[in-house]
Amino acid sequence: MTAWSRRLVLLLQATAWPLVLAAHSEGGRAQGIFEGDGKIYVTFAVVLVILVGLFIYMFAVDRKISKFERKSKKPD
Amino acid sequence: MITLFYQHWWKYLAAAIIFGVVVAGFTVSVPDLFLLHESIRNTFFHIPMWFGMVLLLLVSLVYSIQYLSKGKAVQDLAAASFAHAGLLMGFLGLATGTIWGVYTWAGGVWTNTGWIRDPKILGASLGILIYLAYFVLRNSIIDRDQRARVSAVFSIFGYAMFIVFIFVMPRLTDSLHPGNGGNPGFGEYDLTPTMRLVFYPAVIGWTMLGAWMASLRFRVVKLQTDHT
Repeated sequence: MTAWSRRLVLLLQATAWPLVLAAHSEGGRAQGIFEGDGKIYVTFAVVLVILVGLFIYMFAVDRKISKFERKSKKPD
Repeated sequence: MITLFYQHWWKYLAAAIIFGVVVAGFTVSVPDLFLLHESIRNTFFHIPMWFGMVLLLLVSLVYSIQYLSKGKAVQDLAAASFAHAGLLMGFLGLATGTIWGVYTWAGGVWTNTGWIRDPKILGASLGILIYLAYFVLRNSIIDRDQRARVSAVFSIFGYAMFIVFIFVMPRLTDSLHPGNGGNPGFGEYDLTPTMRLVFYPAVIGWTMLGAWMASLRFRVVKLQTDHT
């Protein structure tokens, strides 16, 4: 479990760079989006939730297949 | 490359890149262009589907050629798995492109220029049909070696026709798609340097996710065939 939480922290750190990019972008439109201009941030949050679900599913399936592979390698 | 299917580091990388480009895709500043407005952000989501599809199908083609020269069963299985993932991205690219095009340039679903009347959509549908035929062909042959050989040969001809249908044919006629039918492509005027900084990682990230999906299918089918 600790290995997984460490990986999660790494993932969050790795994804922080676009926010830095957004903060530095000219015109300050990004701030406008977050403040509620057109409520695009609602869609943004929805997409992020979908992505989290998608990747949890991908890793879960991957681990399940790995388990079966280990099982099938053992002589019966 | 098949050993990569069993490793995990690049899967975390793919997840990180996709989260990054989605966050950036919604937040970076983009030019406010005529007709496009905020929908220009689709560049970060729709186009990587197409790039990913073309790259995944290219990997499938390479495995098909390798199978024809070396004749290993895993190469055939890898070719089919990558074609499968490429097909999924093709469906997503077609669906997202249709939504984008219909509401941005064509003026709605039920107009003269909307929906299926655009040659780009027609060409993409034909290209997808080629790969659907690939799977129909594969699944209709019971003998494993024969199936692998026939589908590898089909894959080579299929990929060539596929590229003609999605890239060449729409350029010959009157398409609304950027870069086709005399329209300028996005890369020429509309992509700012910041957008490029998001767009290229997006292509890499989504292609990696497609490869991950292909690797999972490969491993499942391999487990199945090893036990029958």
